[in-house]
Amino acid sequence: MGKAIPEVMCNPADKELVLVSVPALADAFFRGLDTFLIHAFSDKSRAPIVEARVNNLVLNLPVPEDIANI
Amino acid sequence: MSLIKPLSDLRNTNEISKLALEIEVFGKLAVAQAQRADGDRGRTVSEAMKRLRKRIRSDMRDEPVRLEEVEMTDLARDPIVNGIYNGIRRGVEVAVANECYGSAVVLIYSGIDSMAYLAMPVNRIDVRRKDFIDWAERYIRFPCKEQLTGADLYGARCAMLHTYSVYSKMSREGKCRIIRVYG
Repeated sequence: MGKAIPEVMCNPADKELVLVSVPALADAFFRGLDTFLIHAFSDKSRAPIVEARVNNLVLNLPVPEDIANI
Repeated sequence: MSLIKPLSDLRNTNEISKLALEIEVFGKLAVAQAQRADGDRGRTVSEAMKRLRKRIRSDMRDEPVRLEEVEMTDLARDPIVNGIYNGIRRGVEVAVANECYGSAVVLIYSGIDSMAYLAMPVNRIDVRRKDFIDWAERYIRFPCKEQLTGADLYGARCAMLHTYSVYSKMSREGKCRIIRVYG
């Protein structure tokens, strides 16, 4: 991914606007995702809740052969 | 102790969970992707259960689990590998790599929503604005002085997902900044 430094830019004269590079936003999201999962599964009280919810996520699974061959 | 446990439960208990966290999901993903690239759909259930029982017995004897014994079977079906890494994350990676930045941003905001769902309090079913903002505030951090707030990201999320623009009700009301992105 390309690098934009600084990753987030803000014009002091226009406090309503902020610029961010997409690769930097993606990197930040990936880091956050990793950190969150480690936090979640390291916490014994939260882990079962997250585990249950993770099982609700949409998964990409191969179609079973007996169905695929219909 | 139950001898047979769902694969997903292994993350929560005993040394296997610690080991799995240490080698982390990246390691699993690499193996799963290699398996998939080789056309491997995973072991049969009987093979998987045989290895699983071996691991559980090993754990009950407090023997260290060797790395090569860590169950890699069907990792491509593991919800974290499949749903989060091969699903949410890979979609963003593919979009960025192909310079589809608008789509990448939509997927990132959607991904934050999904993480907020996983992180919301136990007694809740639906994700709320605060869940998104709290998750983003805590986990979306940039290696520079200027940061996006959770509110900035929530406003941008609403703008992109609802109108594919940068303007949201929150930004119009001055409750967040407008996020403009560039590749």
